[in-house]
Amino acid sequence: MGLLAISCAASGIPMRKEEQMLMLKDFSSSPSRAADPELALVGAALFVEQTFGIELSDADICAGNLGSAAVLERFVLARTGKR
Amino acid sequence: MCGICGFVSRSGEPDADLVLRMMGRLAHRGPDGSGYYRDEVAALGHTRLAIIDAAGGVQPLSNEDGRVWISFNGEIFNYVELAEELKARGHRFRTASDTEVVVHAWEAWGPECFRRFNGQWAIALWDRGRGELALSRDPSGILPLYYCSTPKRFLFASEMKAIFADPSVPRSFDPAGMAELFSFWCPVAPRTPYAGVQELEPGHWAVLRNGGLEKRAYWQASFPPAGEEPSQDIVENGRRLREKLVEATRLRFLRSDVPVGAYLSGGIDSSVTAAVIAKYTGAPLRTFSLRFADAEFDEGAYQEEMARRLGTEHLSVEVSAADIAGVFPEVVWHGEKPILRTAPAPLYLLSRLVRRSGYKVVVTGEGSDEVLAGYDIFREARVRAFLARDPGSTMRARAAELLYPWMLRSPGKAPSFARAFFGKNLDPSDPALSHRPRWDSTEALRRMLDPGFRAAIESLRPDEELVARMPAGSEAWDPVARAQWLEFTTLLPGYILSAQGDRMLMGNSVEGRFPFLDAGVMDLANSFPSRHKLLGLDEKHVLKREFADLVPESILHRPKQPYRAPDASSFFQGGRPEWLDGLVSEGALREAGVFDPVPVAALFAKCAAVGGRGMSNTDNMRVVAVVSTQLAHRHFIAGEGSGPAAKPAPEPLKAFDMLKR
Repeated sequence: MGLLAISCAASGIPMRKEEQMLMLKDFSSSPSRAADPELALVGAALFVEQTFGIELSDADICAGNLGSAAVLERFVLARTGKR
Repeated sequence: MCGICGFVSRSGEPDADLVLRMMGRLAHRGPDGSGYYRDEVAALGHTRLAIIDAAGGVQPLSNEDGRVWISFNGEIFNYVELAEELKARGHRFRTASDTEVVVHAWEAWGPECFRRFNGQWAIALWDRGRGELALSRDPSGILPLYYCSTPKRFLFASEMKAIFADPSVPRSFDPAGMAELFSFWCPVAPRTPYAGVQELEPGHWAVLRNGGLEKRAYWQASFPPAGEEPSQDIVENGRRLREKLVEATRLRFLRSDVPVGAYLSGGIDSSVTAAVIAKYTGAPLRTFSLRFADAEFDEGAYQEEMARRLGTEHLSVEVSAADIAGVFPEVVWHGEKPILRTAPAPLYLLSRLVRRSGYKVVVTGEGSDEVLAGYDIFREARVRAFLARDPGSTMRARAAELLYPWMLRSPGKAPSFARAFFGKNLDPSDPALSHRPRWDSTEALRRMLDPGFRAAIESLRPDEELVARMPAGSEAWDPVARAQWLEFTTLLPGYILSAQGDRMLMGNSVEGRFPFLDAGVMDLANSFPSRHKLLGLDEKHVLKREFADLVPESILHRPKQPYRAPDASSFFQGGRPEWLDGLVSEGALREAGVFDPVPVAALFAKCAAVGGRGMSNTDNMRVVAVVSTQLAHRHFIAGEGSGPAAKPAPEPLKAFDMLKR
């Protein structure tokens, strides 16, 4: 069991790293992602805000942060790790 | 399941003819026999659908000394375990029925017994010694229970039509109940569409004592504050959900003395329940499905795929628009309330198939959408919360387009409309943020109301009243949990389990069993973080995750298709039913006094011109609302001439008449 706990701003409670990674994995493997690339980014933004409590600006909603499973994971870890 | 009825007299001996008439109105709920009990003060009636202990379970039934009598509709699935516990406490049993367990449990534990029951029920217990009548209803409101207090008597029954068997009960629409119906799709218990008739709230029990009714909740949907859910681990929560759901399904399949079938809708919920039965009981299974002649509504390919995978003996009924129109008067007779969609009608035809196939019990996946956040309204709530964080954001505004990529007439096909529709009234502090678009849409009905009726309801604010009923502390719940509470309180008991559930099943004397509405399953799911139920916009995520071994990928991850049926087109496609013109004539509309004949005539002319095809969602809703309201008026207010002929209480009839001894 991982000891790393990451604060979730939406809830103010710790989310274990394993749980966080599972959520990211489940989201990235979900077949319901939109085909339209911009819409897919919006869907990812909604997921990130509501699952991890990370507040995003319009500038954050871009392929560089949310455009693939790998960058999404890096972005979430970076933003939650900063808190 | 069965039908229960009765009354406590306020003046004179109870009228045996009245209780027999009430039982006759409930003959469809219990065609296997009937019985009544009568003493100097009270009468209890019962019509029986014999499922457990066919020989010994005749009702009404009493405790050992004849002091407590019961009329019981439902199933207590843990009755075997409770009977053992009660026997150990010295209770003596004469039958092997769950009904007798209820009587002894009431004696042993009082109202605490309702927390111990795992099941679905509507119960009337008459304590002859104390002169008290207790009523109780299951946690989620699977089974109905109505009551009415008049100067002559306090009446109760499974269906309102049995209460209307008493000619002294006044008959009129209740503006407050109708105002709720024109907001939430259904009145919210205790209100009904009819003045003076009330419904016991789900999860409540009540006692009639010294002429007054006292009510208490023994269960209600509750959620932990967001972020304080006891387990944040989706793997652990999934494992526990599977354990509970398997046990709930097994109990509902195995605790029966008659064969039990299962519905297969083509969606994930009924696929899970049927697959669990197949895997964990090993028993042969017969499955039943609803097909639509119109491909827009049909899910046949998925149903057949699941049936093949499970190797069930599979039967289906194909329903056309004309079939819906053909049974619609019966549907409203059984449902008793105006409805805004025809969707109950095909389910009535499905339960007819079940009954004609020799089955009288089915397990279904109903309740999963409420318990595990499967409905679109929860996804809409997510999107609206996302929009509300920055209403000026052009990027966020596109989130509305994520909602309905599958639907032909989807707002998602018209992005600007979707943004406007879901972007209205975005007050993040509004506890009902999730439900405003639905309620606003339904309120379009008010514009067609008769001016007098509109005046009677225009000062009423059912939305504010409902929000004021939200539990203390709910402001700390996750927004999805608040939306779930609203669904548990309004649409689930008032429409899904009633107009579309119990009534359509019992109209053909078929009992439904609902594993997802097991109180243990509900309590567990309510304790999950909302992300486990709705991950981003992926509904019922934990269910899909946990049952991926039992349900094929094609069903598990298919875009959700809410159950719908042809609405306005049912009455106009290929010729209208012969009863329609008289039903919505100016004279009939003025007599009912709910809808204004002028806009109704314009709406129906518009419908007739296009055969009911291609109408907007609002116009579809308006047509069904007008037709069903007029039928409800004809059946229950103007008289009963258009309903099925009054029947006698089903034979064999057993009388426990203390006044004839």
